Amino acid sequence: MIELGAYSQLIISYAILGGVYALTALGLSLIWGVMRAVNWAHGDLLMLGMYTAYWMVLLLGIDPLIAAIVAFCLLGALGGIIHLIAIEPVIEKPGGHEATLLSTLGISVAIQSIALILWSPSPRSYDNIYKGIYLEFFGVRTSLAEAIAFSLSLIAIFLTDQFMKRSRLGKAIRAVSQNPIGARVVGIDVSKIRLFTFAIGVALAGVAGVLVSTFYPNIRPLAGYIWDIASYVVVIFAGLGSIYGVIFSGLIIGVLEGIGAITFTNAFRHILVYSVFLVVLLLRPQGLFGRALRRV
Amino acid sequence: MKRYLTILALILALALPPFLDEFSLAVLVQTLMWAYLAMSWDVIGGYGGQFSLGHAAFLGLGAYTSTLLLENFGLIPWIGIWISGIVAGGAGALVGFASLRLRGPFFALGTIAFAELTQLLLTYLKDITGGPLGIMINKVGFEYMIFDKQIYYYYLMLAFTVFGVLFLRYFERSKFGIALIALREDEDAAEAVGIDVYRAKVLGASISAFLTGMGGTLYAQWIHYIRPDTLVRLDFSTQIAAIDVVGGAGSPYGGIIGALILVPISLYLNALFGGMVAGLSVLLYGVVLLVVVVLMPGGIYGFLRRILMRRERYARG
Repeated sequence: MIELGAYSQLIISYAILGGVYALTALGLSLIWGVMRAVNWAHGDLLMLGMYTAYWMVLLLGIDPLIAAIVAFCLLGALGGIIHLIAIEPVIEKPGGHEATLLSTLGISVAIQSIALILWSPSPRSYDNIYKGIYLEFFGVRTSLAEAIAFSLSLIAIFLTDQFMKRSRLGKAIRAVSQNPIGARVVGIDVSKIRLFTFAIGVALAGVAGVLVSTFYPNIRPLAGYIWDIASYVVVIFAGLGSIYGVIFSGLIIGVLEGIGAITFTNAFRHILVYSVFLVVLLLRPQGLFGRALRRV
Repeated sequence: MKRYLTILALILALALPPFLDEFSLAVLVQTLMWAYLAMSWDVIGGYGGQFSLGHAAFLGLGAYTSTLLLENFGLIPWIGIWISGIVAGGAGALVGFASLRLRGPFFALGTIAFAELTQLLLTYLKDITGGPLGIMINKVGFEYMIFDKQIYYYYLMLAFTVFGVLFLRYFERSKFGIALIALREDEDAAEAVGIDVYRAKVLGASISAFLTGMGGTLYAQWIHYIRPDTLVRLDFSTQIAAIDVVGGAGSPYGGIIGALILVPISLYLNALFGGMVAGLSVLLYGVVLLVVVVLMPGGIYGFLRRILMRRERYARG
């Protein structure tokens, strides 16, 4: 029997993971909100973020937090390319939103297999200074790496929110997400906005990947898919257009996983998340914090 | 001309096997199996437009049902396969029910979660299913649907594939099939003209799952070894859907075309490079899927049909 302290310890570390889920989900939520496109490769791009950190630390010996900036730029560029290949050619055709599901599924499979070919399926991890330092709040210990990942995720979410609310570009993005035709009428270049949004969404996934890689000893080519599901679950829980809802849902999913890990075993920790997810999808498709969905 | 082509293809398919070695036959067996699975998916995924990414769950449920019946009660798979279909069909009705509330990508997500739960339950209920170690089927004989030569599997799978094509041809002209297609094109309009959306979706998903469940039994009898994580996995669900979409979703021939293009190449790639380049055959699926979705809406079948129709129009002047 594990004592109560160990329980709260476990739940806290899953809640921290939930903070990173929120950051990943934010990218998805942006892409979905602006162009009603599904990015099925989101988790795989997060996986590329993990590898970016791994190789930068290993080959160049730089700090993983600097790698986060590099990953933001690299994956942002990659996101732009993916958008031009897989999203832009289909998005305006009839049935285009469903087609993005398929074309990004193709991208996802391609990224996974290229990663498998290049880096082999075995999981990797790297050492960093943040891993070894422990902090203690109210009797709960977390590593500095986890604390940094959590707080940087929240900061990134906050910055994205401010960017959306204050900058000209952010306002244009919101305009397109509310009414693409109206946005075009007032002179916004909708396809450019779509490109930019997709790039930002992917870049956020890349940053999330780097942050996770500092404490998550499981960098492998197929790591993305569990993140895909977790972050989609977060998006659905949060409902669309609710940036702070994403944070709460991220935490809820994290805690649910923690409880799942305690009641079942670690391998089965997702049972609870999937079950709750299905129930929420069926009973409240607009999410816990969102408005009712418009017809897709 | 189309009829002669079909008959020619069928004669070729029937007469070819004695001239092939075991490996090529095994490749063809798998091609036919994936074609059959893709056609089963087509009922709800292609005609119904409900993009399921959880069909591996039905495959797994089918495989486990008939195998457990065989191992525990000695029920031969020739009967068990029907019960597999019924069990999977029941699960399919649940998924169909979910599709009443979930549209587009949300439905796809729901089916993924459904498949994951199925996998976890098959693993967790150790006492019934044998847990993560899976079940080995150590029987040989016609009555167990387990043969010592690939050629028997070939004819069995061929029969199922031909049945699949005939079924889809009948289905797309039936009242029910037309209702499902109408629903895919515009759900609200279909409902407005009096189509019972509830019935169409639940029954459509159920039929699709029934056929896939039967495919699960076939797969189990061919592979002899079933395990939750090698059977109910996302890449199987993805492959089923990808093959059908590449071939041409919503047509009786999409599954076969897709399987003929994707399966042999990926299997030969695997055999050529072995474990060294594990991702290569999967890369093919991803790239082909992407190219077809972006450049050929309607899949390869739709593309060929457009070319033929254009040529006919020219010929007529």
